[in-house]
Amino acid sequence: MPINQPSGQIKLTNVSLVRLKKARKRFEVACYQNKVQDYRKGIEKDLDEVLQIHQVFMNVSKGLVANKEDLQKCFGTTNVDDVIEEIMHKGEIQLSEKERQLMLNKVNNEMLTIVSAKCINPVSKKRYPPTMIHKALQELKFSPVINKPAKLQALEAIKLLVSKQIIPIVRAKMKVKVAISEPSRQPELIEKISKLIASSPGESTKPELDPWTCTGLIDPVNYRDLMTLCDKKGTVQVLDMAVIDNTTHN
Amino acid sequence: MPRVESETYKRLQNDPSCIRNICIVAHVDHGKTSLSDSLLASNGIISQRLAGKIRFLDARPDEQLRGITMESSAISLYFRVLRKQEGSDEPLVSEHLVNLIDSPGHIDFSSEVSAASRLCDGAVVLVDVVEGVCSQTVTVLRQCWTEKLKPILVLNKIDRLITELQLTPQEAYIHLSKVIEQVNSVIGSFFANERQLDDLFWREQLEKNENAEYIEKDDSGIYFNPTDNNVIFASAIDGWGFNIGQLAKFYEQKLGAKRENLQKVLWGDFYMDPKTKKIINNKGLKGRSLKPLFTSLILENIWKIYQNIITSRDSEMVEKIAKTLNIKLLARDLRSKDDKQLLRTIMGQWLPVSTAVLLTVIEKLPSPLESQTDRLNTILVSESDTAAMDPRLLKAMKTCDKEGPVSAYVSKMLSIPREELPVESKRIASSDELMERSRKAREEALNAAKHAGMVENMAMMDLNDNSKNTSDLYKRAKDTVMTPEVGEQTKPKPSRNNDVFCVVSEPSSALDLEFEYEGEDDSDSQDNFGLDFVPTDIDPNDPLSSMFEYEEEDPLLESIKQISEDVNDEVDDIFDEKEECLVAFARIYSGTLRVGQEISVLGPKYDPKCPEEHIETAIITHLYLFMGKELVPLDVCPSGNIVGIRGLAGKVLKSGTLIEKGVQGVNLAGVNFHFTPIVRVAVEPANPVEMSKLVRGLKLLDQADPCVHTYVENTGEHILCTAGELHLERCLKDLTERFAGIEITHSEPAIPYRETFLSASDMNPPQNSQLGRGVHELLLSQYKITFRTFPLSGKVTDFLSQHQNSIKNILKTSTSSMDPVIESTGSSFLDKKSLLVAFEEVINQEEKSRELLSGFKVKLAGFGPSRVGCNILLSQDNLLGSLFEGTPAAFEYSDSIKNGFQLAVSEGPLANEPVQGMCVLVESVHKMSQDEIESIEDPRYQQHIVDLSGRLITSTRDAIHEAFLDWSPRIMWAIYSCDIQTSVDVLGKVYAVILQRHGKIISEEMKEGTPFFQIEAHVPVVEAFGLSEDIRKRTSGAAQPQLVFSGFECIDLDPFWVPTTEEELEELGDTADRENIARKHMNAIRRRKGLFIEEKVVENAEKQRTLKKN
Repeated sequence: MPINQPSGQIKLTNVSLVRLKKARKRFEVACYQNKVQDYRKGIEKDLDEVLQIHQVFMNVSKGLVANKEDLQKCFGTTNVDDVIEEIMHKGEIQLSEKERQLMLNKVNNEMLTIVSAKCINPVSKKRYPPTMIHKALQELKFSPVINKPAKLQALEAIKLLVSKQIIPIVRAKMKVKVAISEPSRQPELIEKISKLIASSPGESTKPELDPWTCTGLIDPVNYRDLMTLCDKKGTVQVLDMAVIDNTTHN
Repeated sequence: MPRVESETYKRLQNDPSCIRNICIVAHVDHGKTSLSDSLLASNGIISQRLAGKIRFLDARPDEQLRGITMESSAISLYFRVLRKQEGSDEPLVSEHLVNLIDSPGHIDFSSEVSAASRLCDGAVVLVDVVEGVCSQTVTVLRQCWTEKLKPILVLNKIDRLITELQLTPQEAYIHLSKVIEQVNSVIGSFFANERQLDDLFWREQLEKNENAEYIEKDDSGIYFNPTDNNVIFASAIDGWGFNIGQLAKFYEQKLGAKRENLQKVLWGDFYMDPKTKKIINNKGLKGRSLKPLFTSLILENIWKIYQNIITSRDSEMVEKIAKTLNIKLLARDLRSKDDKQLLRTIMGQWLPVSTAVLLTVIEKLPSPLESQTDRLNTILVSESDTAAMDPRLLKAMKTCDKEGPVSAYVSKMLSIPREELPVESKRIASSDELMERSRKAREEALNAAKHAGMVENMAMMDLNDNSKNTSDLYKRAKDTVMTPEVGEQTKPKPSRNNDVFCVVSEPSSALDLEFEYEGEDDSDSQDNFGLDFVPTDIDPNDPLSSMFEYEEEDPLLESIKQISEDVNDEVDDIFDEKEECLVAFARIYSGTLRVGQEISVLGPKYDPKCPEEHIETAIITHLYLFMGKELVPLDVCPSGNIVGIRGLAGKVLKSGTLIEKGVQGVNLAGVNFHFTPIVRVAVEPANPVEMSKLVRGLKLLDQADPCVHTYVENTGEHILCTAGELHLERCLKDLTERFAGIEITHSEPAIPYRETFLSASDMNPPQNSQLGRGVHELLLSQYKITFRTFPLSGKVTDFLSQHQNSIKNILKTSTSSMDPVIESTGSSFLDKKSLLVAFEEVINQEEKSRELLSGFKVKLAGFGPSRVGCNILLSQDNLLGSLFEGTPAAFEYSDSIKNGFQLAVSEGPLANEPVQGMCVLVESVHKMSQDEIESIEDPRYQQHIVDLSGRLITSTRDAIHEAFLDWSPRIMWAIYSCDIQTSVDVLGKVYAVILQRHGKIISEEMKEGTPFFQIEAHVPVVEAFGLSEDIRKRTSGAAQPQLVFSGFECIDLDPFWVPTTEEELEELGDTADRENIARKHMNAIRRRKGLFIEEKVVENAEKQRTLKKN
């Protein structure tokens, strides 16, 4: 006969659940809010700081504790520590407000840094500071999401910025050096490459030389094409990931 | 009429002997602008009643609101002296044109004072008698000294001695003499310094030449002495002031003593023997306690007036006083509840401050004619300049010859909205407009003053008073600031002529030296004034003409106002399209400037030795006479004057010299300003679309303000450097309202960091004990690549960073197609051979470097980041080829490794900041056999990779980072070298500020011959935000830092360090995040860049706020 008196009850507040479905059974662990993410990243090492109660539940809100047979059947062990560890790392979690905010901030900042590093003002050949990019993106109603990698979103943002041009912006060109051995045999290849490489002043292409070399600026979008073209037939050397005027006029 | 036709100005401009160019300088809040108000009132530009309150020359609304001047402004005044000639009744009239420059007193705007002092011949130095000599007073006195300006001293705010400090006349006398002594001691110290230098110079000369003679300079003429009439006792706010000479005249009749004698005894320890009625000195005192003449004759009378009006109102007594002083008092004035006003009326008639100041200025300060002869040597920077100069020009400058070749100095460019510029003189309708504009200007100023007063008042008022309606507030505000109601259109005061015209002083006829305003000649003028003044005969270009219309309740005027408002709206529209004109603020030294004239403009870098450089020609499109906020167009302007020139925009950036075309000129612009801009902020438009407007605005601002510096940082931030926080505020306001016309946000600029590592004693054990520290094996596909990293010594790093340009150049020439765009910066490049030799020398200096970098010539595969930085990539056995020998690489994917290295050093592992001082050696590339591959247990290992060359780049980067972290990593922060000159008494406070901001004192030296210390310190850039403000505050302005960027310095702390030993744990706790500055900075950068930070979202899970709802 369970004792059902106020002093025997444990009430959990501020619960954040971690759920894991295994063998058609649902297991839950009751954690504190804003902590699960840290534990998963390894920043929080103390499990007691994360768990509200050292037990595996079937249903936390009803107070149903998982019985040993189920644990044995689903996890192959009755050791609660091991089971909790597995649930913590594999289970689905609810993001709490602060964690979400933090992640969003992080993704946003990372994205802005990437965009700022990859784009320039075509007039001054200078970068835009991330804050400017942020303002421009807000103007365009572009907001980052947390479940996509920052780099992908940065590329989307660049596309949007370049197409709308609310600030004069272009993607910074890459500077590459291409060398093709035995150029006489592959005239059409050289022609293809030359198309990709925008001519820059002082660029030197010496068709009669072996190997044929060319230095110039390319659009970063074309880099992959260039690589596949030159595969096995020559080398591509990246001289500059982004050509930016770095001279400070003091 | 007190109104002065601009024709008069034009006439007077032609005679340099009657021109005085003066500037008013003082510490902040010592009453410069109030004083100039009184001077303006004497010319009828503003009403006498308003003088001291309206602060007419503070044309900017923010100046009015804050009550401080921010921009120097100029105004021309007309002044007439009547001198009684011996034996004739007809007084000799001598007219004068005084070009007055009101300068700001706040330390942030010191550059404005420098600019103003350049243009003037004399200075009026104000000192608040209560506060005495302050830091800025010393600065301006020094400025006068170095610029060889002749100063006169005004002891201002004497009324505060009476009303606030409640001194007795005797105490006040002692106090005043002390203040004069203070000022003189400051000047004396300048003289002593100069004497010391002279002495030093003489001794040097003596060593070379036995016969050199020491010339002792006389310092008697430089001090202030009331008996010399170069000290004025004044209260600008109450409108009175006098010098001893004036009072000597006054008492001449009363006492029947000779004026010359009185002049000598009125100041100093001279007493009147009550029995003999003779004047005696200290000796004759014989133990009696008599009061000095200055006290008994002058101060006591002033005190009496104050007592009878302010302290206890005694109408009878006042009337008696007025009678003795021959002052006309109207019954209305006596009845008026406004004590201050009555006081002003009496004192203003008895001892008008404008008369005292202008008279002293005219008597004591030199005209351009005299001063240019004296000051020319100071103005011309060096001897060689003088030699190169056209002798005609030199002569013309010395004599201020208006017929000679033109030379003028532009001290700054004023940016003036087009709406404020006078319209083309051809337009007839402009008369009304001008009138309207000047009225508006005045109203604006008044309203702003009222507003400021109201704000003040509101602050004082009980907060519960919110329910009161605004008109109520308004009245209260008026009561406190005592603003007369002239600003209000609806209530014209019937008796308004009193305040201006009661200046008629009867006793004047008895004095042989007298001042009269033009209008007093005409007895009818009082009737004319203010009733129906018809503006038809007014010179359309004279804004003063409108002076008397502004209180009229004229429906026509209202309609004009309506129209002009419409016009204003239009102007606003234009303004949106950036209608901003640059007007040069210039002093003509010789010759005559004409509209349409073509002149050569010499830039500040102009050198007479190479006359072709930094020279441009410009055509003068307009010339203006400065009248405070307003400009009056001129056609010609002769030498000795201060003038506004249009047509130089783009030709003169901040300051420059104008010389007649074809004449070999000289650079007059060699003035060195005392302050360089030190407060840096990044500015951005609130709306990103308006970027171009901001860029243009910054350019304009850069031109218009001599003490502003703007540039674009590598990160793309637009940096604005200003002299101080207050200056910054003004600049931002200027940008938003005038130059750019857009919303602007400002923030701290992004601060660069560097990453490095070093070998420390308390490092963790190496990751791989077999390979040793800093070695990392990269397993990828069938390759096993071994990277070894080690730190470079400081000397090597320094060498590399110094010779970046040389390396860049060598790279360019050796592999011709490597880097096609390199601009030659003009510095000398080392060629390959000498660079290598020099580099080897540096390496050989240290045992360790020699060992590590032996045979680098062959091994060297590249530098980084961007192929020129302070990191080295080496390779064993030509794996990556050699950069200098040009041997080809042995390893087929060498390019990928090189690129990986570039990536690794341009974005370090700590915070993605550039790395410096790292050497990476590719030790071996081993192609693994099948057996070896199978024996690898690393779970991350991948055998089959599609794009190996691409993958190798990132893997190399990661491998180098791993190896980097095996050592003890460090964050390097940017450092300012900070020079501070300070006096001994605040030395400790300067130290405290520096240390509080993690700075280091490098050296501290006593400056020879001065009571100053020169401190050199290193302060991190991060901590330097607000440093100057802090130092100034703590030292009450006695110390002023100069900041120069001086490279990077290591924070001597591993950002990953955590306490391990028991003591450390006990002392710092197990994370020690408060103690670890390096980590704090690393995390801050990471947060900014959105990188991973090892920080908990919530420290204690259980201490979170409990929410009912989950």
